[in-house]
Parts: sequence; structure tokens; C-alpha cells
Amino acid sequence: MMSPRQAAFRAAFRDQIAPAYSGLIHVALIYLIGGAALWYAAQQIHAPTWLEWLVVPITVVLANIFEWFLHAQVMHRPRRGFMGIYKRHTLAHHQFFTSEAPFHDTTRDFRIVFFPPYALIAFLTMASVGAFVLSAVWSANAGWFLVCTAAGMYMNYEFFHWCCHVRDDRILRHIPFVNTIRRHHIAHHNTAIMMNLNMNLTYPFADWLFGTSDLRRGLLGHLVNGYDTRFLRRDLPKVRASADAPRAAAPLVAGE
Amino acid sequence: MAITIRDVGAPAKPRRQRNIASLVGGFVIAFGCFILWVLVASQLTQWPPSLLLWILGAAFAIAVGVWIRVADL
Amino acid sequence: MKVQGGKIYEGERNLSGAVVTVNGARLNPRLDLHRFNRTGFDWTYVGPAPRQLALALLADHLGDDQKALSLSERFMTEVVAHLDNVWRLTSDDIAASLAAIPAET
Repeated sequence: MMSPRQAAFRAAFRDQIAPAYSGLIHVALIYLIGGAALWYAAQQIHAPTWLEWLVVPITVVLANIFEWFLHAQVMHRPRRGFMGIYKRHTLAHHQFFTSEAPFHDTTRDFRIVFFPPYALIAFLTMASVGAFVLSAVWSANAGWFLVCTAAGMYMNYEFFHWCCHVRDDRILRHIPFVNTIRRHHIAHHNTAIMMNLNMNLTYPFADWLFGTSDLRRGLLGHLVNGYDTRFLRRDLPKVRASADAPRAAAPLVAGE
Repeated sequence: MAITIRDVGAPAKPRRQRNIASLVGGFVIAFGCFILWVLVASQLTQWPPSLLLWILGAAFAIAVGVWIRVADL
Repeated sequence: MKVQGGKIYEGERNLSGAVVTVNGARLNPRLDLHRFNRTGFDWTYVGPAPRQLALALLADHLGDDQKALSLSERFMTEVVAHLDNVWRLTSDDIAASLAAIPAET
């Protein structure tokens, strides 16, 4: 249930969205740019060896860890030079969406769900630099595989993240991986854990690897957990001195 | 229940202001779109693409960049 | 609203930033005392920004800069790291939490 404060924040944020903004154009741009990059890179791959194909799963794993790191250490920490990202995420996205009210209402709310397209351009640029180095030390195919996978992972992230914030889950709740990240990410929007836990936004691999998950399960269990809440950690942090929605009273200091 | 923190001096209804990020972002996205357009066009037709395709690509990129700024994205 | 004989500290994350006030006025970050962080306050975790908040709260509450500095790390881990997204502490709350923090050996 949405607190009055969250409702007021949503109203204030929506009032700041430019009239010319269109959520559908926003999303179309992301997938046009990402799709074009992926298609072009795929066209450059010729007769790849099985070893070169390994670049794909390796890049998936590295992208997953990068996603975890960026979320935990840049989007959720006020760091000099990266304050714009922190403001847009912790100070806006997490005030707009909470675990009690995690869903968007209209396509204009896409403004606070999807990254601006220059994030994709920046990500593709970084991937291209890596691809250039890879092609120099290994092969052109390997470099192009990296660009393909990076573009694909970004579009995967944007789609999965939207699936976490869309209201209707009649179909989503039955799709493996999507239902897992939906529970995982909505739990992340709990203000008690949002600064520290459940930092993955696609597959909770890095959260499992680095122990920053709210679940106590193995890797496979993490990936196919779905909506299951039987494996929640019993030592999840609780917050105190809350002045927003009513919470169960908790002592300021443990053991008080 | 009101918002917890009282306003500490900001106007009650702040005027909508465009962020500098959308200005820089507009140029970045326009440039990125133009590069991708040329690459895709060259893959579908020939290298270098025709003058018409260069012009269409520039027009598309400018339109995207302008929209990014106007939409303050 | 001022609590009789005490102060009210409030923290909130909004479009203006991570804002902390004492009796409605902005809390002095006390960068003159120690600069743990250059980007302002934060809370609900352990780090430079929460440490700056701990120092600022204690310096304002205790009126003793050196004591505030010496207690800031413990206060950060025991209190600031557990504050909610929007929080309110009174002078009595801070006094009680300081009394409950185990003394250093």
C-alpha cells in the first residue's frame, strides 16, 4: 500500500516530466539502437570457432557482475563525479517505487523505469573498446561476439527491469527467470535492504556469488526461485526510527 | 500526513527546468544514432552509402537529439 | 515542531537530495570537524556519508566536538546504518542509543 509520502513524491515527479516526453518513443529508441548494434555486430561474425563462441557466456557473466557493481557502488552510493546517477536512482527511482507499491501506472512513468538512451550509448562504447582490444589480442569474431552480447544483455536488463515494475503479472509470474527477478527486485525496493542487498537486475548470479542476496539458497535455487519466499534469510536487517509508513516499533539499538 | 521534511526554502511548485544531462545526452545520442545508421546502411547497401542515405541519417540523428532535449530525457 | 527540552532530527531522501534537518533547519555537516565525505549525508549502510551524518548528529546533540568525533564510528554502525529511508530521531532517542551502545574495551 502506498504511503502518502510516496504518493506525494510521485505527483511531484510526474509534474516535472516534460510534456514532449513519450514513454513509447523512449523504449522504441532504446531497442532501435540496441537492436541495430546487435544486428550489425552479428553480421561481422564469420565462421566462428567454438572457442570464440565462449566469449558469449563469459561476457554474460562479466556483464552480470558489472550490473551488480554499478548498482551497489554507484547507483546506491553518493560518489563524486557520479552524483547524477545516484540522484536519479536512490533519490528518485527508489522514492517513486517501494516494495509496498512497486508498480508504474502509465507509459509516462517509463521516465523513471528505463535509463535514458545515452546510458546504452555509453555501455556500447565501453563494449566497443573492449571488443577492439579483444580483436587485437585474439580475433575479430571474438570482438564482435562481445559487442553482440553486451547489446543483448543491456536490452535484457531493460526488459527484465520493466517486468519488475509492471502491475499485471498474470503471464510474468509463470515465466522462469522473469518471475525470479521480479520477486528479487521488488524485495530490493524494501527500504530496509535497498542500500545493501539484491543488487542484480537480470539474474541473481552476482548476488549469490558475493552474498548480497536476501535468500539462503544455492546458485540454481537462486536462478529459478520464482516467487518462493521459503528461503528468505532470517537475519535480514530491519530499519528503525521510520517516519514514513507505519512500521513495527523497533529499538534504536539492538539489545536496548 | 504531510511529507516529513518541511520545505527549507524551495518554491512550493518548482518551475520545470531542463537538465544539462539532456543537452549533453542529446548530442551523444544523436552522434551514436548517426554512426549506427551509417553502419547499418553500409551493411545493407554498400560502402560508402549514397548521399541520400547520409542525409537521411543526419536528419534522423538530429530529430532524435532534438527530441531527447525537448523531452528532457 | 520542537520537542520541549529537546530537538527533532529528521532525514529524508527526495529530489533535493538526502536532506537532514534539526528542528526544521538544515543540519550542519561539520566538515570543519572532519571531512569523511564530500557528497553529503546518507544512511542505512556503513560508509563515509553515513559517518559524516553520525558526526553531525552527535556534534549537534552533544555540543562536544571531540566526543562526537570519537563516538561517530560506533554511532554510525549502531544507529545510522539502521535508519529508514525517512527517519526521525529526538534528542531523547539519541541519548538512549548512546547509553545502550556498549562501551569500548
